[in-house]
Amino acid sequence: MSAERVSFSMGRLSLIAGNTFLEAVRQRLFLFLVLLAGALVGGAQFFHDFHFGPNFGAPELKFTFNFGMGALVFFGSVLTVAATAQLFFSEIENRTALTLLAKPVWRAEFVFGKFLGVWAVVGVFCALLTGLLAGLLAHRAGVFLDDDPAVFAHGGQITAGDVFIVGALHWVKFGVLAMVTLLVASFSNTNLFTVVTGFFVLVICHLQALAHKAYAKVEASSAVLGVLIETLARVFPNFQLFSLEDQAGTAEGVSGLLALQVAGYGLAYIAVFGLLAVFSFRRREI
Amino acid sequence: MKSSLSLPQSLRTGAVVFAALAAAGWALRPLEQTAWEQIERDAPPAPANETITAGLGQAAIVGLLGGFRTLAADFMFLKANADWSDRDLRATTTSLRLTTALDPRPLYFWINGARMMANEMPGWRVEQAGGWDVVPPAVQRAFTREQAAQGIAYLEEAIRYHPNSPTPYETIAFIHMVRLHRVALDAGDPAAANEELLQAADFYGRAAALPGAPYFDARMRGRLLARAGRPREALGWFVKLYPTLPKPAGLPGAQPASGRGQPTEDEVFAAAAADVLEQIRELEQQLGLPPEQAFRP
Repeated sequence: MSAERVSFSMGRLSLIAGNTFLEAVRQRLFLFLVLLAGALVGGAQFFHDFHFGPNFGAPELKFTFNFGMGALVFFGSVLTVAATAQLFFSEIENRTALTLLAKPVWRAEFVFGKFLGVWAVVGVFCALLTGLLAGLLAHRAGVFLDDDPAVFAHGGQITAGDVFIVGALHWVKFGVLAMVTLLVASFSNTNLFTVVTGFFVLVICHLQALAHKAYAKVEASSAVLGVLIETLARVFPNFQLFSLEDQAGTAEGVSGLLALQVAGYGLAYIAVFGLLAVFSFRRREI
Repeated sequence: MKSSLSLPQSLRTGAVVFAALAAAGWALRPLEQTAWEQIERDAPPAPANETITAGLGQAAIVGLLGGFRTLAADFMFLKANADWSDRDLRATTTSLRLTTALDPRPLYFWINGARMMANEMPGWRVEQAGGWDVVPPAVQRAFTREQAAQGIAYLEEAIRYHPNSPTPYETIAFIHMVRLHRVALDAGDPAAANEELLQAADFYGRAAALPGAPYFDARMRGRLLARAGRPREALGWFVKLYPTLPKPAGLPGAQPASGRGQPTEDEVFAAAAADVLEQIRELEQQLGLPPEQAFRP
Protein backbone atom coordinates (compact mmCIF):
# COMPACT_ATOMS: atom_id res chain seq x y z
CA MET A 1 0.00 0.00 0.00
CA SER A 2 1.51 3.34 -0.93
CA ALA A 3 1.13 6.54 1.07
CA GLU A 4 -0.72 8.23 -1.79
CA ARG A 5 -3.56 5.71 -1.66
CA VAL A 6 -4.62 6.56 1.88
CA SER A 7 -6.31 9.80 2.72
CA PHE A 8 -4.63 12.58 4.63
CA SER A 9 -4.99 11.87 8.33
CA MET A 10 -4.97 14.42 11.12
CA GLY A 11 -4.55 11.48 13.52
CA ARG A 12 -1.23 10.45 11.98
CA LEU A 13 -0.18 14.07 11.79
CA SER A 14 -0.89 14.66 15.48
CA LEU A 15 0.92 11.43 16.36
CA ILE A 16 4.05 12.68 14.58
CA ALA A 17 3.60 16.12 16.19
CA GLY A 18 3.23 14.56 19.65
CA ASN A 19 6.35 12.45 19.24
CA THR A 20 8.29 15.43 17.94
CA PHE A 21 7.13 17.49 20.90
CA LEU A 22 8.20 14.84 23.41
CA GLU A 23 11.51 14.37 21.68
CA ALA A 24 12.10 18.14 21.69
CA VAL A 25 11.30 18.74 25.34
CA ARG A 26 13.66 15.93 26.30
CA GLN A 27 16.48 17.69 24.52
CA ARG A 28 19.04 19.42 26.69
CA LEU A 29 19.00 22.38 24.31
CA PHE A 30 15.40 23.18 25.22
CA LEU A 31 16.01 23.00 28.96
CA PHE A 32 19.24 24.94 28.67
CA LEU A 33 17.65 27.74 26.65
CA VAL A 34 14.58 27.92 28.91
CA LEU A 35 16.80 28.22 31.98
CA LEU A 36 19.13 30.76 30.38
CA ALA A 37 16.36 32.94 28.99
CA GLY A 38 14.37 32.62 32.23
CA ALA A 39 17.40 33.68 34.26
CA LEU A 40 17.91 36.68 31.97
CA VAL A 41 14.28 37.75 32.19
CA GLY A 42 14.17 37.18 35.96
CA GLY A 43 17.50 38.96 36.35
CA ALA A 44 16.15 42.05 34.58
CA GLN A 45 14.61 43.14 37.90
CA PHE A 46 18.10 43.71 39.26
CA PHE A 47 18.67 46.42 36.66
CA HIS A 48 16.64 48.97 38.60
CA ASP A 49 19.15 51.71 37.92
CA PHE A 50 19.28 51.05 34.18
CA HIS A 51 16.33 53.21 33.30
CA PHE A 52 16.56 56.44 31.40
CA GLY A 53 13.78 58.81 32.07
CA PRO A 54 12.99 61.69 34.35
CA ASN A 55 10.98 59.52 36.74
CA PHE A 56 10.97 56.03 38.14
CA GLY A 57 8.25 53.70 36.96
CA ALA A 58 7.52 53.80 33.27
CA PRO A 59 11.15 53.93 32.03
CA GLU A 60 12.14 51.00 34.23
CA LEU A 61 9.16 48.92 33.11
CA LYS A 62 9.97 49.70 29.47
CA PHE A 63 13.58 48.68 29.96
CA THR A 64 12.61 45.43 31.71
CA PHE A 65 10.05 44.68 29.00
CA ASN A 66 12.49 45.30 26.17
CA PHE A 67 15.14 43.28 27.93
CA GLY A 68 12.78 40.36 28.48
CA MET A 69 11.50 40.43 24.92
CA GLY A 70 15.08 40.67 23.67
CA ALA A 71 15.87 37.45 25.55
CA LEU A 72 12.74 35.78 24.17
CA VAL A 73 13.54 36.72 20.58
CA PHE A 74 17.19 35.78 20.75
CA PHE A 75 16.86 32.43 22.52
CA GLY A 76 13.57 31.67 20.80
CA SER A 77 15.22 32.07 17.39
CA VAL A 78 18.09 29.81 18.42
CA LEU A 79 15.66 27.21 19.76
CA THR A 80 13.45 27.33 16.67
CA VAL A 81 16.19 26.93 14.09
CA ALA A 82 18.31 24.44 16.06
CA ALA A 83 15.41 22.27 17.25
CA THR A 84 13.73 22.15 13.82
CA ALA A 85 16.91 21.13 12.03
CA GLN A 86 17.93 18.70 14.76
CA LEU A 87 14.55 16.93 14.93
CA PHE A 88 14.24 16.67 11.17
CA PHE A 89 17.73 15.31 10.55
CA SER A 90 17.64 12.95 13.55
CA GLU A 91 14.78 11.14 11.76
CA ILE A 92 16.85 10.88 8.59
CA GLU A 93 20.18 10.02 10.22
CA ASN A 94 18.60 7.40 12.51
CA ARG A 95 16.74 5.98 9.51
CA THR A 96 13.43 6.29 11.36
CA ALA A 97 12.18 8.47 8.51
CA LEU A 98 12.67 5.53 6.16
CA THR A 99 10.63 3.25 8.38
CA LEU A 100 7.99 5.87 8.92
CA LEU A 101 7.60 6.91 5.29
CA ALA A 102 7.56 3.27 4.16
CA LYS A 103 4.22 3.06 5.96
CA PRO A 104 1.08 4.75 4.59
CA VAL A 105 2.12 8.17 5.85
CA TRP A 106 1.91 11.25 3.69
CA ARG A 107 5.02 13.37 3.40
CA ALA A 108 2.76 16.35 4.16
CA GLU A 109 1.79 14.64 7.42
CA PHE A 110 5.45 14.18 8.23
CA VAL A 111 6.39 17.82 7.45
CA PHE A 112 3.39 19.39 9.19
CA GLY A 113 3.69 16.94 12.11
CA LYS A 114 7.31 17.93 12.60
CA PHE A 115 6.34 21.58 12.33
CA LEU A 116 3.52 21.37 14.86
CA GLY A 117 5.75 19.49 17.32
CA VAL A 118 8.47 22.12 17.11
CA TRP A 119 5.97 24.97 17.18
CA ALA A 120 4.37 23.56 20.31
CA VAL A 121 7.76 23.39 22.02
CA VAL A 122 8.52 26.97 21.02
CA GLY A 123 5.03 27.87 22.24
CA VAL A 124 5.83 26.44 25.66
CA PHE A 125 9.07 28.42 25.65
CA CYS A 126 7.24 31.65 24.73
CA ALA A 127 4.47 31.04 27.27
CA LEU A 128 6.96 30.44 30.09
CA LEU A 129 8.97 33.56 29.30
CA THR A 130 6.03 35.89 28.68
CA GLY A 131 4.37 34.60 31.87
CA LEU A 132 7.54 35.27 33.83
CA LEU A 133 7.93 38.70 32.26
CA ALA A 134 4.29 39.66 32.81
CA GLY A 135 4.57 38.62 36.47
CA LEU A 136 7.76 40.59 36.92
CA LEU A 137 6.30 43.71 35.31
CA ALA A 138 3.10 43.45 37.38
CA HIS A 139 5.19 43.11 40.55
CA ARG A 140 7.32 46.18 39.76
CA ALA A 141 4.26 48.20 38.70
CA GLY A 142 2.65 47.31 42.05
CA VAL A 143 5.72 48.54 43.92
CA PHE A 144 5.67 51.84 41.99
CA LEU A 145 1.93 52.31 42.52
CA ASP A 146 2.34 51.73 46.26
CA ASP A 147 4.94 54.51 46.34
CA ASP A 148 3.00 56.91 44.14
CA PRO A 149 -0.53 56.09 42.91
CA ALA A 150 -0.14 58.68 40.11
CA VAL A 151 3.13 57.24 38.78
CA PHE A 152 1.48 56.02 35.58
CA ALA A 153 -0.86 59.00 35.20
CA HIS A 154 0.79 59.81 31.86
CA GLY A 155 0.91 56.19 30.68
CA GLY A 156 3.83 53.85 30.67
CA GLN A 157 2.27 50.91 32.48
CA ILE A 158 2.84 47.75 30.47
CA THR A 159 -0.12 45.47 30.95
CA ALA A 160 -0.02 41.67 31.00
CA GLY A 161 -2.27 41.74 27.92
CA ASP A 162 0.31 43.70 25.95
CA VAL A 163 3.08 41.33 27.05
CA PHE A 164 1.10 38.29 25.96
CA ILE A 165 0.09 39.80 22.62
CA VAL A 166 3.70 40.73 21.79
CA GLY A 167 4.88 37.30 22.99
CA ALA A 168 2.21 35.56 20.89
CA LEU A 169 3.27 37.47 17.77
CA HIS A 170 6.85 36.38 18.31
CA TRP A 171 5.56 32.83 18.59
CA VAL A 172 3.85 33.20 15.21
CA LYS A 173 7.11 34.59 13.81
CA PHE A 174 8.97 31.57 15.19
CA GLY A 175 6.39 29.44 13.40
CA VAL A 176 7.32 31.07 10.09
CA LEU A 177 11.00 30.60 10.93
CA ALA A 178 10.43 26.92 11.77
CA MET A 179 8.65 26.39 8.45
CA VAL A 180 11.46 28.16 6.57
CA THR A 181 13.94 25.89 8.34
CA LEU A 182 11.86 22.83 7.38
CA LEU A 183 11.78 24.04 3.77
CA VAL A 184 15.57 24.30 3.78
CA ALA A 185 15.86 20.93 5.53
CA SER A 186 13.60 19.35 2.91
CA PHE A 187 16.31 19.68 0.25
CA SER A 188 19.44 20.08 2.36
CA ASN A 189 21.88 17.25 3.04
CA THR A 190 23.23 18.41 6.38
CA ASN A 191 22.01 19.71 9.68
CA LEU A 192 24.72 22.39 9.73
CA PHE A 193 23.74 23.80 6.34
CA THR A 194 20.11 23.98 7.46
CA VAL A 195 20.96 25.75 10.73
CA VAL A 196 23.25 28.28 9.05
CA THR A 197 20.75 28.96 6.27
CA GLY A 198 17.97 29.26 8.83
CA PHE A 199 19.88 31.99 10.64
CA PHE A 200 20.68 33.78 7.38
CA VAL A 201 17.01 33.77 6.48
CA LEU A 202 16.22 35.16 9.94
CA VAL A 203 18.59 38.06 9.34
CA ILE A 204 17.32 38.65 5.80
CA CYS A 205 13.70 38.66 6.95
CA HIS A 206 14.56 41.29 9.56
CA LEU A 207 16.21 43.40 6.88
CA GLN A 208 13.38 42.94 4.39
CA ALA A 209 11.78 46.25 5.36
CA LEU A 210 14.98 48.01 4.36
CA ALA A 211 14.79 46.35 0.94
CA HIS A 212 11.37 47.93 0.50
CA LYS A 213 12.77 51.34 1.34
CA ALA A 214 15.60 50.79 -1.13
CA TYR A 215 13.02 49.76 -3.72
CA ALA A 216 11.16 53.02 -3.18
CA LYS A 217 14.34 54.94 -4.00
CA VAL A 218 15.29 52.80 -7.02
CA GLU A 219 11.78 52.75 -8.48
CA ALA A 220 12.06 56.38 -9.50
CA SER A 221 15.31 55.89 -11.40
CA SER A 222 14.68 52.55 -13.16
CA ALA A 223 11.34 50.78 -13.41
CA VAL A 224 12.84 47.40 -14.43
CA LEU A 225 15.40 47.44 -11.64
CA GLY A 226 12.72 48.57 -9.27
CA VAL A 227 10.43 45.63 -10.08
CA LEU A 228 13.36 43.21 -9.77
CA ILE A 229 14.26 44.54 -6.33
CA GLU A 230 10.63 44.56 -5.27
CA THR A 231 10.25 40.93 -6.34
CA LEU A 232 13.35 39.96 -4.42
CA ALA A 233 12.05 41.84 -1.39
CA ARG A 234 8.70 40.04 -1.71
CA VAL A 235 10.29 36.59 -1.53
CA PHE A 236 11.06 37.00 2.16
CA PRO A 237 8.49 37.82 4.83
CA ASN A 238 8.92 41.00 6.85
CA PHE A 239 9.84 39.90 10.38
CA GLN A 240 9.88 43.45 11.68
CA LEU A 241 6.10 43.40 11.44
CA PHE A 242 6.04 41.07 14.43
CA SER A 243 7.83 43.53 16.72
CA LEU A 244 5.07 45.54 18.35
CA GLU A 245 7.16 46.34 21.43
CA ASP A 246 6.99 50.05 20.71
CA GLN A 247 3.21 50.04 21.17
CA ALA A 248 3.38 48.50 24.64
CA GLY A 249 3.28 51.06 27.42
CA THR A 250 1.59 53.70 25.27
CA ALA A 251 -1.78 55.13 26.26
CA GLU A 252 -3.53 52.99 23.60
CA GLY A 253 -1.50 49.85 24.26
CA VAL A 254 -0.91 47.19 21.62
CA SER A 255 -3.62 47.34 18.98
CA GLY A 256 -5.60 44.08 18.91
CA LEU A 257 -6.62 44.62 15.30
CA LEU A 258 -3.05 45.21 14.22
CA ALA A 259 -1.95 42.12 16.14
CA LEU A 260 -4.59 40.06 14.33
CA GLN A 261 -3.46 41.40 10.97
CA VAL A 262 0.15 40.54 11.73
CA ALA A 263 -0.82 37.10 13.04
CA GLY A 264 -2.81 36.50 9.85
CA TYR A 265 0.19 37.52 7.78
CA GLY A 266 2.38 35.09 9.73
CA LEU A 267 -0.09 32.22 9.47
CA ALA A 268 -0.41 32.77 5.72
CA TYR A 269 3.36 32.52 5.38
CA ILE A 270 3.41 29.37 7.53
CA ALA A 271 0.94 27.81 5.10
CA VAL A 272 2.92 28.93 2.03
CA PHE A 273 6.26 27.75 3.37
CA GLY A 274 4.62 24.54 4.58
CA LEU A 275 3.21 23.71 1.15
CA LEU A 276 6.57 24.47 -0.44
CA ALA A 277 8.36 22.30 2.12
CA VAL A 278 5.98 19.43 1.29
CA PHE A 279 6.50 20.02 -2.45
CA SER A 280 10.28 19.96 -2.03
CA PHE A 281 10.26 17.00 0.38
CA ARG A 282 8.08 14.93 -1.95
CA ARG A 283 10.82 15.16 -4.58
CA ARG A 284 13.52 14.13 -2.18
CA GLU A 285 15.03 10.65 -2.12
CA ILE A 286 15.60 9.38 1.38
CA MET B 1 21.66 9.13 2.83
CA LYS B 2 21.71 9.80 -0.89
CA SER B 3 21.93 13.23 -2.36
CA SER B 4 18.50 14.74 -1.88
CA LEU B 5 17.88 16.21 -5.36
CA SER B 6 19.66 16.11 -8.73
CA LEU B 7 20.87 19.46 -10.14
CA PRO B 8 18.11 20.06 -12.76
CA GLN B 9 15.56 18.92 -10.23
CA SER B 10 17.07 21.28 -7.65
CA LEU B 11 16.89 24.17 -10.09
CA ARG B 12 13.28 23.38 -10.94
CA THR B 13 12.38 23.11 -7.26
CA GLY B 14 14.23 26.35 -6.51
CA ALA B 15 12.42 28.16 -9.33
CA VAL B 16 9.04 26.94 -8.13
CA VAL B 17 9.85 27.94 -4.53
CA PHE B 18 11.05 31.38 -5.66
CA ALA B 19 8.01 31.97 -7.85
CA ALA B 20 5.60 30.79 -5.18
CA LEU B 21 7.20 32.99 -2.53
CA ALA B 22 7.21 36.02 -4.83
CA ALA B 23 3.52 35.38 -5.62
CA ALA B 24 2.73 34.99 -1.91
CA GLY B 25 4.63 38.20 -1.19
CA TRP B 26 2.61 40.09 -3.78
CA ALA B 27 -0.65 38.55 -2.56
CA LEU B 28 0.07 39.43 1.06
CA ARG B 29 1.29 42.91 0.21
CA PRO B 30 -1.91 44.80 1.10
CA LEU B 31 -2.07 43.10 4.50
CA GLU B 32 1.59 43.78 5.15
CA GLN B 33 1.41 47.37 3.97
CA THR B 34 -1.52 48.29 6.20
CA ALA B 35 0.14 46.80 9.27
CA TRP B 36 3.55 48.21 8.42
CA GLU B 37 2.23 51.76 8.00
CA GLN B 38 0.70 51.63 11.47
CA ILE B 39 3.86 50.16 12.99
CA GLU B 40 6.02 52.85 11.39
CA ARG B 41 3.71 55.54 12.76
CA ASP B 42 4.17 54.22 16.31
CA ALA B 43 7.87 53.42 16.01
CA PRO B 44 10.65 55.78 17.11
CA PRO B 45 11.22 58.53 14.57
CA ALA B 46 13.62 57.56 11.82
CA PRO B 47 17.10 58.74 12.67
CA ALA B 48 18.51 61.55 10.59
CA ASN B 49 20.51 60.28 7.66
CA GLU B 50 23.63 62.16 8.59
CA THR B 51 27.31 61.31 8.51
CA ILE B 52 27.36 59.70 11.90
CA THR B 53 24.45 57.40 11.18
CA ALA B 54 25.52 56.63 7.64
CA GLY B 55 29.06 55.89 8.81
CA LEU B 56 27.86 53.37 11.29
CA GLY B 57 25.89 51.37 8.77
CA GLN B 58 22.98 52.23 10.95
CA ALA B 59 20.37 51.04 8.54
CA ALA B 60 21.62 47.50 9.07
CA ILE B 61 21.77 47.93 12.81
CA VAL B 62 18.26 49.27 12.99
CA GLY B 63 17.00 46.56 10.67
CA LEU B 64 18.54 43.81 12.72
CA LEU B 65 17.47 45.25 16.03
CA GLY B 66 13.86 45.46 14.93
CA GLY B 67 11.79 46.53 17.90
CA PHE B 68 14.75 46.52 20.23
CA ARG B 69 16.30 49.82 19.32
CA THR B 70 15.24 51.18 22.68
CA LEU B 71 17.08 48.43 24.51
CA ALA B 72 20.21 48.91 22.40
CA ALA B 73 20.00 52.67 23.06
CA ASP B 74 19.74 52.04 26.80
CA PHE B 75 22.88 49.94 26.71
CA MET B 76 24.66 52.50 24.55
CA PHE B 77 23.79 55.21 27.06
CA LEU B 78 25.26 53.04 29.81
CA LYS B 79 28.43 52.87 27.73
CA ALA B 80 28.35 56.65 27.32
CA ASN B 81 28.24 56.94 31.10
CA ALA B 82 31.16 54.55 31.47
CA ASP B 83 33.09 56.63 28.91
CA TRP B 84 32.08 59.78 30.78
CA SER B 85 33.45 58.41 34.05
CA ASP B 86 36.72 57.67 32.21
CA ARG B 87 36.68 61.27 30.87
CA ASP B 88 37.15 59.89 27.38
CA LEU B 89 35.93 62.77 25.25
CA ARG B 90 35.84 61.08 21.88
CA ALA B 91 34.26 57.85 23.13
CA THR B 92 31.65 59.72 25.19
CA THR B 93 30.66 61.90 22.24
CA THR B 94 30.42 58.91 19.91
CA SER B 95 28.40 56.87 22.42
CA LEU B 96 26.01 59.75 23.03
CA ARG B 97 25.45 60.26 19.31
CA LEU B 98 24.92 56.54 18.79
CA THR B 99 22.45 56.46 21.68
CA THR B 100 20.24 59.16 20.23
CA ALA B 101 20.65 57.77 16.71
CA LEU B 102 19.29 54.45 17.94
CA ASP B 103 16.43 55.92 19.93
CA PRO B 104 15.82 59.66 19.79
CA ARG B 105 12.66 59.52 21.92
CA PRO B 106 13.91 59.82 25.51
CA LEU B 107 14.69 63.49 26.16
CA TYR B 108 16.85 62.26 29.02
CA PHE B 109 19.51 61.14 26.54
CA TRP B 110 19.61 64.47 24.73
CA ILE B 111 19.55 66.70 27.79
CA ASN B 112 22.15 64.78 29.76
CA GLY B 113 24.31 64.29 26.69
CA ALA B 114 24.25 68.02 25.93
CA ARG B 115 25.10 68.84 29.54
CA MET B 116 28.10 66.51 29.37
CA MET B 117 29.26 68.15 26.15
CA ALA B 118 28.77 71.75 27.20
CA ASN B 119 29.50 71.68 30.92
CA GLU B 120 32.04 68.94 31.51
CA MET B 121 33.98 68.37 28.32
CA PRO B 122 35.66 71.83 28.36
CA GLY B 123 37.31 70.80 31.64
CA TRP B 124 38.44 67.46 30.17
CA ARG B 125 40.01 69.23 27.23
CA VAL B 126 41.86 71.63 29.51
CA GLU B 127 43.18 68.68 31.55
CA GLN B 128 44.24 66.85 28.39
CA ALA B 129 46.04 69.96 27.19
CA GLY B 130 48.13 70.18 30.39
CA GLY B 131 45.85 71.44 33.15
CA TRP B 132 44.26 74.67 34.34
CA ASP B 133 47.57 76.21 35.36
CA VAL B 134 49.25 75.49 32.03
CA VAL B 135 46.58 76.14 29.40
CA PRO B 136 46.22 79.88 28.66
CA PRO B 137 42.83 81.37 29.65
CA ALA B 138 42.09 82.28 26.03
CA VAL B 139 42.47 78.60 25.04
CA GLN B 140 40.32 77.53 27.99
CA ARG B 141 37.63 79.93 26.82
CA ALA B 142 37.91 78.62 23.27
CA PHE B 143 37.37 75.07 24.58
CA THR B 144 34.28 76.23 26.46
CA ARG B 145 32.88 77.98 23.40
CA GLU B 146 33.50 74.97 21.16
CA GLN B 147 31.96 72.53 23.60
CA ALA B 148 28.99 74.81 24.23
CA ALA B 149 28.44 75.02 20.47
CA GLN B 150 28.57 71.21 20.27
CA GLY B 151 26.03 70.88 23.09
CA ILE B 152 23.73 73.46 21.49
CA ALA B 153 23.95 71.73 18.08
CA TYR B 154 23.06 68.44 19.80
CA LEU B 155 20.05 70.08 21.45
CA GLU B 156 18.95 71.65 18.17
CA GLU B 157 18.85 68.14 16.76
CA ALA B 158 16.77 67.12 19.80
CA ILE B 159 14.29 69.88 18.95
CA ARG B 160 13.70 68.26 15.54
CA TYR B 161 12.47 65.15 17.32
CA HIS B 162 10.79 66.96 20.24
CA PRO B 163 9.43 70.18 18.76
CA ASN B 164 6.85 70.61 21.51
CA SER B 165 9.09 70.06 24.51
CA PRO B 166 10.39 73.16 26.31
CA THR B 167 13.32 71.26 27.91
CA PRO B 168 15.82 71.45 24.99
CA TYR B 169 15.11 75.20 24.65
CA GLU B 170 15.63 75.68 28.39
CA THR B 171 18.91 73.77 28.26
CA ILE B 172 20.19 75.87 25.35
CA ALA B 173 19.15 79.00 27.24
CA PHE B 174 21.03 77.78 30.31
CA ILE B 175 24.21 77.18 28.28
CA HIS B 176 24.05 80.76 26.94
CA MET B 177 23.20 82.21 30.34
CA VAL B 178 25.82 80.38 32.38
CA ARG B 179 28.65 78.99 30.24
CA LEU B 180 28.89 81.45 27.38
CA HIS B 181 27.98 84.54 29.40
CA ARG B 182 30.74 83.70 31.91
CA VAL B 183 33.28 83.14 29.12
CA ALA B 184 32.43 86.51 27.55
CA LEU B 185 32.78 88.28 30.90
CA ASP B 186 36.13 86.56 31.54
CA ALA B 187 37.27 87.72 28.11
CA GLY B 188 36.45 91.28 29.13
CA ASP B 189 33.75 91.64 26.50
CA PRO B 190 30.57 92.95 28.18
CA ALA B 191 28.82 93.46 24.86
CA ALA B 192 29.26 89.78 24.00
CA ALA B 193 28.17 88.84 27.53
CA ASN B 194 25.00 90.88 27.06
CA GLU B 195 24.42 89.21 23.71
CA GLU B 196 24.59 85.81 25.47
CA LEU B 197 21.95 86.94 27.98
CA LEU B 198 19.74 88.08 25.10
CA GLN B 199 20.20 84.71 23.40
CA ALA B 200 19.24 82.98 26.65
CA ALA B 201 16.19 85.26 26.96
CA ASP B 202 15.19 84.35 23.41
CA PHE B 203 15.36 80.59 24.09
CA TYR B 204 13.47 80.92 27.39
CA GLY B 205 10.86 82.86 25.44
CA ARG B 206 10.59 80.09 22.85
CA ALA B 207 10.24 77.53 25.64
CA ALA B 208 7.55 79.65 27.33
CA ALA B 209 5.51 79.73 24.12
CA LEU B 210 5.15 75.93 24.08
CA PRO B 211 2.11 74.23 25.60
CA GLY B 212 2.81 72.89 29.07
CA ALA B 213 5.93 75.00 29.56
CA PRO B 214 6.75 75.70 33.20
CA TYR B 215 5.95 79.22 34.42
CA PHE B 216 9.56 80.00 35.22
CA ASP B 217 10.46 80.05 31.49
CA ALA B 218 8.50 83.25 30.98
CA ARG B 219 9.85 84.81 34.19
CA MET B 220 13.41 83.94 33.13
CA ARG B 221 12.94 85.68 29.79
CA GLY B 222 11.81 88.89 31.51
CA ARG B 223 14.59 88.82 34.07
CA LEU B 224 17.28 88.16 31.47
CA LEU B 225 16.02 91.02 29.31
CA ALA B 226 16.30 93.30 32.32
CA ARG B 227 19.81 91.98 33.11
CA ALA B 228 20.86 92.52 29.50
CA GLY B 229 20.01 96.20 29.80
CA ARG B 230 16.59 96.14 28.16
CA PRO B 231 14.31 97.14 31.04
CA ARG B 232 11.60 98.56 28.80
CA GLU B 233 11.35 95.34 26.81
CA ALA B 234 11.38 93.37 30.06
CA LEU B 235 8.62 95.53 31.50
CA GLY B 236 6.50 95.05 28.39
CA TRP B 237 7.00 91.28 28.63
CA PHE B 238 6.05 91.11 32.33
CA VAL B 239 3.04 93.36 31.82
CA LYS B 240 1.76 90.99 29.13
CA LEU B 241 2.59 87.97 31.26
CA TYR B 242 0.97 89.02 34.53
CA PRO B 243 -2.70 88.81 33.48
CA THR B 244 -2.16 85.28 32.16
CA LEU B 245 -0.88 83.93 35.49
CA PRO B 246 -3.01 82.20 38.12
CA LYS B 247 -2.94 84.36 41.23
CA PRO B 248 -3.63 83.78 44.90
CA ALA B 249 -6.62 85.53 46.43
CA GLY B 250 -5.79 89.07 47.44
CA LEU B 251 -3.28 89.74 44.68
CA PRO B 252 -4.38 92.41 42.18
CA GLY B 253 -6.15 90.86 39.24
CA ALA B 254 -7.01 87.62 41.08
CA GLN B 255 -10.27 86.05 39.91
CA PRO B 256 -12.86 85.21 42.57
CA ALA B 257 -13.03 81.47 43.27
CA SER B 258 -15.73 79.88 41.12
CA GLY B 259 -15.11 76.20 41.84
CA ARG B 260 -14.63 74.82 38.34
CA GLY B 261 -11.43 75.38 36.36
CA GLN B 262 -9.67 76.92 39.34
CA PRO B 263 -5.87 76.63 39.35
CA THR B 264 -4.43 74.32 41.94
CA GLU B 265 -2.39 75.57 44.87
CA ASP B 266 0.76 74.18 43.23
CA GLU B 267 0.03 76.04 39.99
CA VAL B 268 -0.50 79.31 41.84
CA PHE B 269 2.77 78.77 43.70
CA ALA B 270 4.70 77.92 40.51
CA ALA B 271 3.29 80.91 38.63
CA ALA B 272 4.70 83.26 41.31
CA ALA B 273 2.50 86.14 40.18
CA ALA B 274 3.53 88.21 43.22
CA ASP B 275 7.17 88.01 42.07
CA VAL B 276 6.20 89.09 38.59
CA LEU B 277 4.28 92.08 39.98
CA GLU B 278 7.28 92.96 42.13
CA GLN B 279 9.52 92.83 39.04
CA ILE B 280 7.10 95.15 37.23
CA ARG B 281 7.23 97.66 40.06
CA GLU B 282 11.04 97.50 40.19
CA LEU B 283 11.34 98.05 36.45
CA GLU B 284 8.84 100.94 36.56
CA GLN B 285 10.95 102.51 39.29
CA GLN B 286 14.15 101.88 37.34
CA LEU B 287 12.64 103.50 34.24
CA GLY B 288 11.29 106.40 36.32
CA LEU B 289 7.76 105.95 35.03
CA PRO B 290 5.21 108.41 36.52
CA PRO B 291 2.47 106.81 38.64
CA GLU B 292 -0.19 107.38 35.98
CA GLN B 293 1.77 105.21 33.57
CA ALA B 294 2.26 102.42 36.10
CA PHE B 295 0.75 99.03 35.33
CA ARG B 296 -2.74 98.58 36.79
CA PRO B 297 -3.70 94.92 36.94
